[in-house]
Amino acid sequence: MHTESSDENDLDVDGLMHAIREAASKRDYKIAKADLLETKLARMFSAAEAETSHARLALSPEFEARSDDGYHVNDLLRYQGRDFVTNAYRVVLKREPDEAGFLHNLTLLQSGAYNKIDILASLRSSDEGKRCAVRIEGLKLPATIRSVERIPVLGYVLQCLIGWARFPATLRSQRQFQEYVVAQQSLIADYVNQLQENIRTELQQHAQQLTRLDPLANEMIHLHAQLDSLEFTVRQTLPQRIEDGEERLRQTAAQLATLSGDLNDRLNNISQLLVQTRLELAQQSVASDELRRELKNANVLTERMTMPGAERRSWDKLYAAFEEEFRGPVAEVEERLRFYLPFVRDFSTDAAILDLGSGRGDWLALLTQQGFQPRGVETNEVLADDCRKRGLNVETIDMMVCLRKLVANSVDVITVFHLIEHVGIDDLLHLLDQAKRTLKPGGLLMLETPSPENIPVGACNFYADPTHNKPIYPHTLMFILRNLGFADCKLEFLHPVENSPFVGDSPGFPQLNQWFFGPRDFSVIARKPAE
Amino acid sequence: MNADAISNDLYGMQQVLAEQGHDVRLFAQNSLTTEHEIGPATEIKNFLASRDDLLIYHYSMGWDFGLDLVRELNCRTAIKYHNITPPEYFVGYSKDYENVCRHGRLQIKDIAQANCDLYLSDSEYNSWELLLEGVDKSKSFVVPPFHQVDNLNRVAPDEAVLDSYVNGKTNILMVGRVAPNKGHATLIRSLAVYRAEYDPDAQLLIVGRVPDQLETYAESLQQLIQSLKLEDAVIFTGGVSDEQLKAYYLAADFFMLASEHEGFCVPLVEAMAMKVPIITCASSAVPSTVGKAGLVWKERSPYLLAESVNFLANDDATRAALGVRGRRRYERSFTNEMIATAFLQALASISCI
Amino acid sequence: MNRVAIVVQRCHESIVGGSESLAWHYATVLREIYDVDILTTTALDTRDWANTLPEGRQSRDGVTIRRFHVTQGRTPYWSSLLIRLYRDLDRVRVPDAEPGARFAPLPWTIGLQEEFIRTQGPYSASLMRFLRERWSDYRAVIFTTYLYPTTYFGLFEVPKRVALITPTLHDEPTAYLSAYKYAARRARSAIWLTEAERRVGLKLWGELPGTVVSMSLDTATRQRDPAREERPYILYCGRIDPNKGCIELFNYFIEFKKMHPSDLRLVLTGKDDIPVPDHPDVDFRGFVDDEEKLRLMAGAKLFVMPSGNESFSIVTLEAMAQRAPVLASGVTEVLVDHINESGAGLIYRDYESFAGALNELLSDEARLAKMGEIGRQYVMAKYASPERVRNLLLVAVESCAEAISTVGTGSL
Repeated sequence: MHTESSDENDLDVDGLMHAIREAASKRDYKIAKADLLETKLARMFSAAEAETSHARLALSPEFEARSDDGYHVNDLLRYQGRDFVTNAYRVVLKREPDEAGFLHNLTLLQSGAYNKIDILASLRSSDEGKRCAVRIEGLKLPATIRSVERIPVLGYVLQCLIGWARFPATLRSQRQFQEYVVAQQSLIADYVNQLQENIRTELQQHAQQLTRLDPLANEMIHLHAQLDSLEFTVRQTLPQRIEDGEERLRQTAAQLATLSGDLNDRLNNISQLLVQTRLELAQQSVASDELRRELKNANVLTERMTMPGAERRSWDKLYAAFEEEFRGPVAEVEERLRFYLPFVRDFSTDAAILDLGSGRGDWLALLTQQGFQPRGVETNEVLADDCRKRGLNVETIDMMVCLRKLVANSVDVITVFHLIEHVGIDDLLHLLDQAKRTLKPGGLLMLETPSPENIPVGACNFYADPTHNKPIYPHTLMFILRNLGFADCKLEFLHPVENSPFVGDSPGFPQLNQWFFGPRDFSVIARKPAE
Repeated sequence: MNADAISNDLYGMQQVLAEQGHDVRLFAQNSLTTEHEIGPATEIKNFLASRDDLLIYHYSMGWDFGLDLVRELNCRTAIKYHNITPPEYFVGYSKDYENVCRHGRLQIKDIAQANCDLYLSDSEYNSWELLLEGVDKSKSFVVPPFHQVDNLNRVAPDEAVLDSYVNGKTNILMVGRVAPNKGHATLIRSLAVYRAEYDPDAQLLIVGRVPDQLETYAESLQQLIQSLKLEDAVIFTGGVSDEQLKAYYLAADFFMLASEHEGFCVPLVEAMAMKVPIITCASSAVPSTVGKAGLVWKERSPYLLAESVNFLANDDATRAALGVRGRRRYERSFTNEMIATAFLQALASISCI
Repeated sequence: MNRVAIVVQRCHESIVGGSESLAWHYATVLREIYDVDILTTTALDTRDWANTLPEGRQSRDGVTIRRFHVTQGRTPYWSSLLIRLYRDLDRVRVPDAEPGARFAPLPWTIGLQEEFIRTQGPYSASLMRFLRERWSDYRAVIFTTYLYPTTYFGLFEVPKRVALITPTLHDEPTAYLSAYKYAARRARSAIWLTEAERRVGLKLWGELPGTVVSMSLDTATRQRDPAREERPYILYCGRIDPNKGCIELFNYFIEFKKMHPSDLRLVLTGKDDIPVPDHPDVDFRGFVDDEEKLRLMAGAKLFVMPSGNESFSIVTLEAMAQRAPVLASGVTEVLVDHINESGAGLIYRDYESFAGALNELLSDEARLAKMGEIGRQYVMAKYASPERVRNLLLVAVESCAEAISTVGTGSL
């Protein structure tokens, strides 16, 4: 059978025995205890009897055989009846009597016709007796007399004579016999009484023992029952208690489990939050890096804005004067600017034209002359004031700020003349990007800036303006514009230097001409593609 | 004829040891069987010549020759203690038994102090007696006696017995020698109570020989039976064959035992193996043999025994479950294989294997 | 642990037997989900359970079959016990009682009952040891048929929580042995073939947890073989055995042919445990494979089932699925149930009713066809769904698995 079992747990032997005990204690049994115990007494009796110290009653002494086979007749005569016959055989024939012989002789004796002498004589004179040849003194004479007494008539007479002669002896013998009988009887009576006495004492003892035992037995049964019921109760309640205890432990364990589960969850949440936070921090640091960059750009552009007012104004004044000095006369500038008019004439006069870095306002004035209503932005307050005084629409605002404020696809033409050489590449890209955004589809972007292909310009004259940053390489600008998605990009080199000595085809002259007397500026005109 | 418990233990040990490759012979002072070869005890000294040899002395009665052997042999000695019935039980029935048992019980001390190498006992109860007499715990092992349950399982039951007793009457069975320590009187009284209260047809089957010299005991039982008017209800079967024994077990609704003294009681194991529900009184080794596989009453009360029969007779399912319990206990603790293992383990502890 | 064990007394393709077919059927149903081991003996013949097949493992159709040696086969000794059983049962017979209550409790001790069961065979000590040592390899152990020692003693070797029993019980003398009642209770739950079986179980064994799972049959229609079967025939399939009522069938048929000559034949298939009479119209085909059997059923005029010893009668239902009307003995409730419920045949109780039914039906083709159709519909409705069987078996097996997982350390 397998080792795991359900039977062992299902069968409650203790409970069963408890129920049996209950039923037995309540029941009134038909066979009472006493009936069952009766034989116990009988058993005790028989055991007692085997150990009894009572001697058996012997009414006559034990017979002792003699080794010399010499007896006196009185040895045998003192026995009576059965004992006499038995002993007679034992002595005379040296054997136990056989049943037939025994009965025969006993009957003869009891009949009275024969007396003991006769029996002895007949045994002795039998063949067997003769063979044994036991000497019995004092037998011969009485035996002879008895045989004579058996002679008919004469024997009877003889018997009477002997009887009469022996009468006193007979009387004496009679008295003896009476006494003997009485003595035997009292022996017997004494024995019986003694026996009765012994039995009575023994019974009393046993009764006492029983009475002693009985309560003990009851006590034991009672104790057993108590023990059993105790055991039963314990066995019933103990497992329950243990189970309750275990149940509580289980519950506590379950609670602990839930708690630790909760804690775990919270820890998880926290660590998730942590991760998230780190992520956000990281993102934010990126964002803030960007911001910082933008800020730097903004700073660069608004550096001047952040200058304290008075200082700013004096610098502007200086630069205004500088412009006046180095830009060239208005008429000349105006002439050069006319290059761009044909492009603008494609637009209606109410086109939105924006000029970034309008400076002296030369382009604005020209456009206004042509009937346009351009807008300009200029951070130099002095110059801007001046323009406004002349009735031009100029705002003192940073051009990036201005562009950012504009709605997309709202400007027809943006002009950026001699401005982009002042800004770094990041800002230039920003500017171009914003320019593209704010231009209407099909709108124009026109730029002009000194050409570094003219070496004196690029290497020397460029630095006349201390606010210049770097010369812009024309083909790079074209590349950028194309990459930004501008279409129809045109590159024009303008304003060559006069009086070049390098004319003709002499070796190196075209190159030298190009380098030293080539166009001083270049312009790029690009269009925002139509949708 | 099935041998008695001690002989079966001897045969079992012989078989196990022979399977291990040892040269095993049995000796006794007197032997009554021709089935097995048993040599006279006087030849033991010749057989056990070397120090590595082993004498296993099955001790169940006083025997001076045996004690001397144990003291004198220079080979290893082991005692298998089968317990000796206290002489009080034989008082009034047999002086001879009384004397032999008294002698035996007195000799326990001598045996215990003979400083043998190993003391094997049929049961815990037996081993305690040895320990009380001074045997060293490390030398004392409990090895139940080998039995004939496997044989019982194999044989076909006797048809006549089945015909007689599988007839709807409740059969209460007891198996064992008809000896005064076996508590037959209690069983008979229990039957009387049960018949008077619940089932006037119930029968008590007492399977076992009446040993020579214990006829007086058997007669006293008959007197009891007559005084309780149970002449037709109590059946003494005398010695039986294996087939008849099996049939009795198959016909038995209950196995009842009220022994006052037992060293192990092999019939309990037979009853367990045959799934007969067991009702007993606790005394000596009986509780340790039955365990929880039956009802074991502390008191020797005919009323409790009769109630037990009644309760179980009316509850099929509990009877069946008790039977299963008994079988399980047999399979877990008392199969011949397990006994062989315990026996060999004990011998191994004195490096005898 | 994805294995299930099915314990059955024999297992082999050549075996004609209800409980063996059922065990194989359940094995094929379960093999899609579990690894199925069939634990069985090496015996082929139920008359002596001799060790015929080799011991060890064999694989067939995706099912592993493990065979164990029989240590106790059937002996003449058992026959004497059987006689004693019948005699003692006869003494406690209850007249006019319903199934499950035909006898009062038998005065046999459990010991004697187990002696009967064990010596009936097949008892395999190595199979019992295998169950005792390896039950935990399986999610569930399904014991097939209550009758044999493989189930009875096997139920002592595995714990209740993994044991299932398919009793295939019907009212027969051995079912009244109380030992079987206690054995059935050692299983976690019972798997019944029909509601009728469950009722008999209730009467004999009391309330038991269990479900009616039944089985599903091969119901694809086969075609009769016109070349071989030109003459009309009535068909019997199964063991040719007095317990199956075959002697009565032979007698009735031969009598019928005497009184009503025609070219009607009696065709029999199966294993002849008793000799088939030598009669020109009695055609014994021996053991045939399933295909042949179903073809014969398809072409039979009638399928006849004389047996009183059916717990379910797979063959009868197979025949009905092949549109064969049924002529059944009124001795078994199961058959009576099938026929009364379906109307797909007739019951006979004696020769008159047998002959009467044959005459009535053989002349009425239309009625025969109608009965056949009804019979097929009946089977299709109730016994043609392997999915249903599989689901129910799954529930039973998985309830064992549940028990395993909730028993943690427990009090063992």
